[in-house]
Amino acid sequence: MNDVRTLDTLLPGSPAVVHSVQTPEDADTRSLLALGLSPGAEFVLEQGQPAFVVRTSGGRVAMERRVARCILIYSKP
Amino acid sequence: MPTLRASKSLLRSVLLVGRPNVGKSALFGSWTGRYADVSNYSGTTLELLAARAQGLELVDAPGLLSLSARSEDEAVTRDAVLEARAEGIIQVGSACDVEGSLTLFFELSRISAPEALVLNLCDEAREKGLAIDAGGLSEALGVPVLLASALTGEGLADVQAILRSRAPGSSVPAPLPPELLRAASRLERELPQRARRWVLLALTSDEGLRKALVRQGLLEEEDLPKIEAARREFVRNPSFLFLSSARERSRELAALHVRRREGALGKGAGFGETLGRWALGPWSGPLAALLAAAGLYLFVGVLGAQVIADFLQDRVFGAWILPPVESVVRHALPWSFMQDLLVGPYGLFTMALTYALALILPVVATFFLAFSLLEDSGYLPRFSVITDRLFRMIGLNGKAVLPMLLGLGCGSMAVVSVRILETRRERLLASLLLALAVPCSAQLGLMLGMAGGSGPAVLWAWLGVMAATLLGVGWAASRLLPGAAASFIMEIPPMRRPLPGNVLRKTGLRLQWYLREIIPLFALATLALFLLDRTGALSRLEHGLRPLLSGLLGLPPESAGAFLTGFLRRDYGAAGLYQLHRQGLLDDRQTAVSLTAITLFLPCAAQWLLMLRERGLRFCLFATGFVLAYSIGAAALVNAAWKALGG
Repeated sequence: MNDVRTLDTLLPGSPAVVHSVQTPEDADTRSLLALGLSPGAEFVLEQGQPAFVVRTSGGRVAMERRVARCILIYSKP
Repeated sequence: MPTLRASKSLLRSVLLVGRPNVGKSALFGSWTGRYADVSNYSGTTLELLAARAQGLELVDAPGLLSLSARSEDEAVTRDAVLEARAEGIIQVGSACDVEGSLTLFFELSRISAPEALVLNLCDEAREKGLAIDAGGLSEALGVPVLLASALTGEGLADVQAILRSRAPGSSVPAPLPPELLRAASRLERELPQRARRWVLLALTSDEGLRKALVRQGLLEEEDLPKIEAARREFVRNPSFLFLSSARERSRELAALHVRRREGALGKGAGFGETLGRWALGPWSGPLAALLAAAGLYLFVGVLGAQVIADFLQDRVFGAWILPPVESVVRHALPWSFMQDLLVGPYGLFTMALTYALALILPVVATFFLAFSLLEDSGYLPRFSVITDRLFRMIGLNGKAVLPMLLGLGCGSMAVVSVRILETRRERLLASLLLALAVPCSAQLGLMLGMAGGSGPAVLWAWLGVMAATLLGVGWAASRLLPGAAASFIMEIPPMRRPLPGNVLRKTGLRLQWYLREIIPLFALATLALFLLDRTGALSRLEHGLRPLLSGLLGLPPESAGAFLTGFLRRDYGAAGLYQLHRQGLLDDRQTAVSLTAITLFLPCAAQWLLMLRERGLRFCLFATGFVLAYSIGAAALVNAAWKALGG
């Protein structure tokens, strides 16, 4: 597995895989898991401004930086 | 507490459940013939809607991302699922997102397996090159899986056949991690027999769902401490463990049964896709938002409020309708009392109907048409992303864009849509701002007309006061209300070409609803004004209000009538001021002051009653007192500042 880092450090256009999600609010983690950002999910970061937008297999999810910092990811091998 | 059954019918009730924006309401509409509001964003359906079809009572429910409901509309569905477990649940999913649909299927199966999984949007999935093996999925899940499209009608007959023949669910659950299974079996031994059926659900759910289980009598309060103790033994939250394993299983099944055809259009192609990306970009997004706002202003503020409203008022009513009506009334009715009641200065025809149909209708119609187009296209969630940071300054987040924009259409509709916000703090904050500083389209159109007809200083003063109010009151209230700001996480739907039929139908229904609400109230307010005028009470009131209106606010005494009707409807009050302005009775200072006062004035009676239902009496009384004091205070300040600056 490549180095694990937070989603907000990823460059737009990069594909990556979710390692884990741990937000301070449990409800946020549950939302992210239900939206497809669960461990092992592949995604592409489409943009980091004005919000982080990721494309998963099921669709797009937008989130603020505070949330993106709580998603641990690794680059797609 | 909403209940599943709309009536005490003996028909079997079937609940339609699914993730937001998968087309539940569109399917509901095509089966029952009853129109449920349909848009291209999450949170359009806010409450249960029941209709009879094919010997069943079908119930359309708000979208549910997960059983751990975050907002009030999701909680409505969560409770309905618990209530419907013995009757029947049909899950509507998206053929474009099989994995997400399956995750919700496994979540629901902890309560009661859906009788069938209907994958809607199969036409869109095909365009994207996705081929779904429904038979294989059906075998893997143990329930029928059907492909359908509410848009083209494809597959709907198969779904109707499933609805008619009740198929008992024998679904295959998602495999669970061993630590979860061990904890569940330990807990089963500790809890009484009656609670055992719900052990896995209680262990892997959030507090809201556990409380709902107690409310429904499926668990007792005394069971909760044992469940809590079992949950604490986990290193990782057991609900995350469940969701992660359900998602993993869904991913495996989607990989096995969904194929992307080679050579088909991928996700990166198509005009809608390009437009959607453009509307979200860091530079192009704000530009798109400005263009949308400018377009809305030109369509509603110029075309609706000026071109069409002037034509209706001066030509249609002023030249074609009112003169013959007036002459018929004056000839046919000998009593001057009746004549004036119908066609006098405060007459039902000359004032109530003219204001409603010639002044307000064109503004509201153009606004609802534009709003429906924006809703249907899928642009609104993108607007949420672009404005998130702005909303953060007033303690809300980008999700509040939807109720606030709807508030520009009609405050009563908006105050209900506040339910989609996730915390009580945000719901209170948004309700307060809607009551205070978000004028409805009718009011806005008239006020833009007034501001446009005055010097530029009036427009800037008015916009400045509104911006300062939204920022200042939002900022202060967000610091006074306890709790932290909710995080911004939002699903972004694809942009689609709006469907003319849906847009027109939705606009028509909203207009019908609006007119049904305003015409009786306008008539009532006019009647009250007429009687006050006849009995001489109006001039006494004008005299009594003089210290406030003329002294503090520097307005002419004739404006008393407008403010009195403003107690019933802000837009009616604005219409009264608009007429005074047209008659040249308001100079620039008075226009700026009256615009400030009426924009910030009390919400109309319908909005107030809905606010009472949604947010409770204490909040309503506080909001009313605050709004009244604030509107008079702000208007007095504008008056004093204008005079001090020599205006």
